[in-house]
Amino acid sequence: MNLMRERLKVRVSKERENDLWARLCEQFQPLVVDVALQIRRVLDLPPALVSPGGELFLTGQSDLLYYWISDDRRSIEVGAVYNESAPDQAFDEFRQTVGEALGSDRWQQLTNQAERFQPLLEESDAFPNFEGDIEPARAMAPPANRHLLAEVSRRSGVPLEQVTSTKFEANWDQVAEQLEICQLIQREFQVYCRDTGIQLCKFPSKSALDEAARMGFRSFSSGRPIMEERIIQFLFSTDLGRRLSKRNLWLALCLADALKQIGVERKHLRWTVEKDYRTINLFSAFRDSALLFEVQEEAVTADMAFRFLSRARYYRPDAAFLVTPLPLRQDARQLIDGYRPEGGMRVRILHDLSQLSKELERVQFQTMDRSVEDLLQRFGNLTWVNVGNCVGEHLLGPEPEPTSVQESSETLLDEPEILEAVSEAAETVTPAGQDILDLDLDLDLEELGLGTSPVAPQSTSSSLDDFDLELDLDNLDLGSVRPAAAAKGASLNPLDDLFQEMPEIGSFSPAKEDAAAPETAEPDPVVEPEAVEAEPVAAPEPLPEPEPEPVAVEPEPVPPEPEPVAVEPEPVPATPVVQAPTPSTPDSMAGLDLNLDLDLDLDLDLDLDLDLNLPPAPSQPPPAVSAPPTSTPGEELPEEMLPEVSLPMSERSPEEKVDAAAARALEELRLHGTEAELDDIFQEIHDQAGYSAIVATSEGLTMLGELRPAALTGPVSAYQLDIWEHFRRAMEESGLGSLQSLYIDGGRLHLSVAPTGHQLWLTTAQEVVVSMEESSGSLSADLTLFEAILKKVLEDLGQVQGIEGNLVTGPDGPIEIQYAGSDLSPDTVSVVLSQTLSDCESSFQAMGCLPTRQIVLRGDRFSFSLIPLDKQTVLITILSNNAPKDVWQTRLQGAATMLASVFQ
Amino acid sequence: MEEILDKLLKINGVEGALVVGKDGLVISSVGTFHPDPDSFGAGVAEALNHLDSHFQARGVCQRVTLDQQTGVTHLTAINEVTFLVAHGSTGINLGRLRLDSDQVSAALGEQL
Repeated sequence: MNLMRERLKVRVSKERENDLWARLCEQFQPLVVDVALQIRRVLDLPPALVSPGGELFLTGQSDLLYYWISDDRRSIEVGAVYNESAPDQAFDEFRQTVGEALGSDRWQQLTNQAERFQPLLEESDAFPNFEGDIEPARAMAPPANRHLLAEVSRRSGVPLEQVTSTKFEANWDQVAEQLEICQLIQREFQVYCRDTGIQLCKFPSKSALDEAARMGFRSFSSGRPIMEERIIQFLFSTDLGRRLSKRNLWLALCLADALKQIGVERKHLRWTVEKDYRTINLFSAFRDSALLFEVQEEAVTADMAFRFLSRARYYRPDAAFLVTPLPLRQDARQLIDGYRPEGGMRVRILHDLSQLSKELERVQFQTMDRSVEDLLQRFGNLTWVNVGNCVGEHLLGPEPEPTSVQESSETLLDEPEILEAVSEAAETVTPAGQDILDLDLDLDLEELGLGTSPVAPQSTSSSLDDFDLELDLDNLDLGSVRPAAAAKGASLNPLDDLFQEMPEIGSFSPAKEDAAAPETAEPDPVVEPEAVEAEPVAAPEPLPEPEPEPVAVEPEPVPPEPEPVAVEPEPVPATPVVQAPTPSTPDSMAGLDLNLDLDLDLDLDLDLDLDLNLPPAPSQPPPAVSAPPTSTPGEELPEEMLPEVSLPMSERSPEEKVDAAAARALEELRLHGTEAELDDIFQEIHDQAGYSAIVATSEGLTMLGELRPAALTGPVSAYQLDIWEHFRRAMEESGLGSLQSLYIDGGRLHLSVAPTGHQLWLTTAQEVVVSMEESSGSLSADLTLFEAILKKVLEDLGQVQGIEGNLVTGPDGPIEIQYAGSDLSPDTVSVVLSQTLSDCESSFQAMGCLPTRQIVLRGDRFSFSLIPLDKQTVLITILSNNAPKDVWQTRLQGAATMLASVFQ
Repeated sequence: MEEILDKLLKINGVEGALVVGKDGLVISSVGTFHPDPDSFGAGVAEALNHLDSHFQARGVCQRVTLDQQTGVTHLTAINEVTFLVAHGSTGINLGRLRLDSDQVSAALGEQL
């Protein structure tokens, strides 16, 4: 489905619109207003054109033309909704007619993109001119090329051998040549004597070297051809190379080129660059769609995916694309797949730019559908036809002009004394200062004797009890209330005020009659023993707006069935059974004209409380029928039977198995020292993927086992003792307790170190795969927000069981202290532990545990978690001795991630 | 060279480190030795030459650790003719001494 729109800025009065509408109707078939007119024609009523502000016209088979006048009537929008080919001729005629009727032809094309793209324009910069950069950018697609260019840009004039990497399978000569062709680098070939190392000559290009070799150049010292000497290829980056070596830039350029090739104009390309090209957002408008692209040349982490989705939510484009050449990690994919965008935004991952055209077509299709839907929704209200009004006018004649702003009833206006009486009654029966017109009546029919009928108590349904009738006296139409009656009743029981002295029914509209009759206005005193079907409850929304009939209608008793001419209210799917009123209902209710604003709960709660804040009348007898018990056995809610789910509790996770095995190994070592039999236990640990264990001596030598990776076995055995000694001494000298065990999360390892006695140490390790990339973004906010985030995160942490306090410490001492206890000095804790952590950095490096993510020191009194937030800031958490692992491993890490965003 | 040797002195318990040739001449030394670095170096070279001659079937020594009553002496080959010697008190972190000696030895090897 397609949509084309144009706007004409011209003032359109109602008269001009009617003229326009009439002209258009001569050429096209109207669809909206004409329906109402047709009804009037059928009912022999004079046509009444009311300048609706818009109209849909049918043209051709299924195409639509429309006009829509703005609210301020200063512009008119015309357009065509079509499926396949645009109805150009019809649209031109339509537009011409509108222009002639309004006396202007300065049409302006409208697009959806203009509306959606405008906010993006304000927050982005124009995309730079990329002519000439495309070929070099494309050359950057292979990772080896990017690696080489990045290395050369970092240190220009470097030999090729020094910038190659075994991580990439590439012919580095070809890579260098390719980059040179694209003018990203320059090469220089220097020839050295193999014997003396003296530089013999140098050539600015490979072709020059080949040419020299062909011409028979030889070494002047050894006499060998230069091609047999040592040739070193030096690489220099060009300005273009240095520019394109920026991360993600090449991908953004390729994307921009792809967009250009499918018809996106350059002026519709905008971008934002953050954090040295780590995040590049490219905004574009494709036909009617506003698009957001984020390019990431590296593997997208969950953090990146989350930030991408956040940006998509913020910019609210029609579609958001994450463009990355690499497959997404599992967690990132799950995050994006699980995202349910609002407003129909399309979120896609794009690995191949050749798919861009197809994707954008889909976006455009979706955007068009949404635009058409939005457009047609504008006409929703115009399609309403006030059938009741037309029928009433047909039967009763034209509606007279209203003579007053009084909404409720003409009868009331004719009898101003009624108002006085009502006012007087209100002053009499209501507490001081309370206006009766502001009261919401919550009637308790049980107390009134109107609820559960004594005649048919068994048939009292729960729905009857649930009938909830709220009377809004603001809209109470007292109809022909006699002043004397009102005044008389005012001094009595409020129920009497309302019911016993209620007058004859005056006039009321059919819709309200339908709503009110079944519950309150049953005039027939004869007891209906059987429960009757409730009249269809008038749903307030779909009905045409009821207008008070000023014409005096012959009062009729409320019929059990609606009048044939009455507007058929929309039936309620589950029609509740309503008990007929009891005989005690006064006849005078029949005279009541209640223009009630009924808030009908479909549960029909008949437990109506009359909440007038009035003291109960002393003479009021207890209700004949007491309130039914709140529940009976038959009415009890059925219990939901849940299937029994048995959890495989016996199956433990690898982590639990390793923990259990480590505990056994520790016990064995404590009991038997070097005689301990640990082979089976260690085998059990090694059987778990990524886990390993060693026993090291107090001399720093490995006694048993091997870590994964094996190369770290020696360093861990040696340096863990240094780290242990540092922290042990720091804790004991500062009165923080005695160190019992140590947990290190850093680099590729999770290490748990525990002394066993006998000068032996048991170390269990888990090799983990961790993205070494730093967090790719930081919060952009002011210091106040940082501080608020800091406090909030720490406060939240403080609520966690097992956490005694939190400290954030920087190079100059504590930044934030949240510790209410008195056993420890927070200043001492923060200074000593952060300094010790800093002292151990070289040991962590030697153990391959950099960057260090978390250190947990388990003492005999407290445990301490140290999480570096950045190079100088540490989150220190004081934990109780029995704090579960989940707390210090999961909760703290999560909070630290948030805090790290603050400090970065 | 002394700056490189200083790295070994950062290990708790290490008292001195020196570089000695198999001819018994000390090239460089840091820390304290008893009675003096030259005598200590000459003694170590003598011992090494004996070891090499006695155990030549398996090649020359790459690392030797002497664990004595009042201290530890660790020898690491820098090249075929030069050795790194570090000595310290008992209870020293031997694992770290070995690792750091290897690194220092590699660094010295580039200079010699």
